Amino acid sequence: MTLFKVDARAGTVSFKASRAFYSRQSAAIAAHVFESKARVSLAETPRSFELELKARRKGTPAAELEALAGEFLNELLNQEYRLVVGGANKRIADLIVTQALFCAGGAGADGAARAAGIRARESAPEFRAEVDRLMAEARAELALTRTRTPPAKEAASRP
Amino acid sequence: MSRLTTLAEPAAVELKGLGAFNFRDMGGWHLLTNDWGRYMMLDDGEFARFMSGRLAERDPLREELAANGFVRERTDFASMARSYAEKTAFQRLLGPSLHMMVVTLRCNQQCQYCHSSVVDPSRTDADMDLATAKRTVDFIFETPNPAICIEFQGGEPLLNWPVVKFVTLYARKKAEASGRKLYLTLVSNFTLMTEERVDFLFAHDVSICTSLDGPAELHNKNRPFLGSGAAQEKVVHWIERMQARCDAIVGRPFSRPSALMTTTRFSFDYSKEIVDLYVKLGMEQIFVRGLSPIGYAKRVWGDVGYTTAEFLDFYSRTLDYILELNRKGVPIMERMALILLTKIVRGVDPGFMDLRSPTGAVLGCLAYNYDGGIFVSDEGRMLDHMGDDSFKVGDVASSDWDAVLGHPTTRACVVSSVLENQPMCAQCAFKPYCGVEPVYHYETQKSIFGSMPTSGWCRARMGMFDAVFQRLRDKECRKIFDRWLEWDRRWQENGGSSAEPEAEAAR
Repeated sequence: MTLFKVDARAGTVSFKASRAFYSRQSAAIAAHVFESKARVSLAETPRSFELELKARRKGTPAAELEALAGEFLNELLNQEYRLVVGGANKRIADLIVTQALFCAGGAGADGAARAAGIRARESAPEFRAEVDRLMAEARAELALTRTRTPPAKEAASRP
Repeated sequence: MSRLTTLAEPAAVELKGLGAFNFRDMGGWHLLTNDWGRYMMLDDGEFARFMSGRLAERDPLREELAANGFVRERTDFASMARSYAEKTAFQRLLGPSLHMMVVTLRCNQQCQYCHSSVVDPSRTDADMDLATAKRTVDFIFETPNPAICIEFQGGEPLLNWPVVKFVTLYARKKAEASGRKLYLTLVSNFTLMTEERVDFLFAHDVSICTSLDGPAELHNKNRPFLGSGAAQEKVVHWIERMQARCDAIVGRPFSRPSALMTTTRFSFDYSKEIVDLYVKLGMEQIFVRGLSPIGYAKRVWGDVGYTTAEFLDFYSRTLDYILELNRKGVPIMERMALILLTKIVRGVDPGFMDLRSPTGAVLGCLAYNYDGGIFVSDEGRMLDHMGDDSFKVGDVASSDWDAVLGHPTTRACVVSSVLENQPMCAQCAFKPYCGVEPVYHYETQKSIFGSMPTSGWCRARMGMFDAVFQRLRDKECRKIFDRWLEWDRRWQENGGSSAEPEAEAAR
């Protein structure tokens, strides 16, 4: 059973976590996740991590400090388990990520060539003239809108 | 029900012969799923016999289990690989298909759950200008997906109507020149809708979606309107008007207006009234959406929020009422259930970004702020409005698609959202159909990975999966669900126009 040593005046709670179950990497990640709630100090003995959480919120009562320590241990377990699951499924997860990013990038198609193709089609005089016309119309309509009453006060739509 | 279930008798398991699968004790029966996306629902006795290797070789149940990839030595890998490929088609998409353009941050409503993420209607400096709009469309067309959907969002997009019109016409022009498929959608509160605007939207095939939270007293409480008149009346008026126009058009070439509801704690007393209103307005679907405690909603959670259990109770009650109406011949579907059923029963991807592994953020969708900032999702953009730009991955003025895809935040979101890497998800029976959302977990748990045992996201999704699977096992509900899937399939085939569910229901 984990024992929590609470010092409500100092706003700290101290406890140990066995190195047989938890890695330094998990402890460091859990501390990072906890960064907004507490400052985490970590020391090591051959058998355990010695942790001290100092609550960010001043005047945190003893019961909440103990709950904070429990929450930290949950996070530590989550991070340790993540390493186990990540290690076991690394190959399939890497394949999924690689495939997804490769396809999203165009599946090997040359992005620059694609962009150049689009630019070439859109540099046709008719296309450019049409876009200029659309821009001019939109500009005129925007100018008209801006001179009208602020929308909140508009009669707006029916009913 | 416990979220993690274990075997009642771990000793009575004969591993030899079992395929790779996850299972869940559903209370009297067990759900089995595998990575191929196949599922089986076995009663407790059948499950015990299967797990202990006591199913006879010619037992029909064993045949069925084998056909679905649950028996190791009889797995048809070619068939299972096809199922997997269909189910995870989104993993091989050529870039995002959904592009959410926030054409203005201005809004004329002060919704309970969102009003700090928008600005006053007089603040025209929060409008997307024409040059940014053009650059945004140009960027969108640089992404490689052959099908593009641009969704106009806000604020209230009708407050910057000239830019909506321009983007519609310019994007159509570009789609024509590049041979790309283009879908356009407007998400509006309808308070500034006019006949002229509807004419334009219909003429240019822009789908129209609004927010309708329910009866007037509920909608107007959730979504106070700053202008004259009540917001709900306007929404109802324009839905009726658009429905009538669709009815009058032979062959219905336009998609009917759709609506989204957002559940606040005030909605809990109105589950029947909300559904009845949707039915009265001729809506084919209702999307019972929960509120997420992120962005502005996080600050007002004490006023409008609720526990996951409260939401799930509301969801189940509403779903049951919808099913009851269907039994009486009233055709109305619940959108979330339909999304899950499309994944589970049809084994295909319904295009829903929130339930993808890896996440739909960037790979499936992007959000563009009024100033040209590019974000992994609309939730990521909302965080920026609250002062945290962690999910900004570029800018239309200076970024190209390769830079956005290669952005460290994009990579982090993708890697962190693969369920194979997630404790609890990796062994969850709902994994083949589920997904996690990095922005949600960053906001609620200060980690883009999240911690599923204490995640509200996970609790809510698991609860909805439970609700759908429990009803899927009921023969009558199953018939209704099959009908929904058929309507939806036809709707998709018709390019988004009505597939006449009324006639089908009558049959």
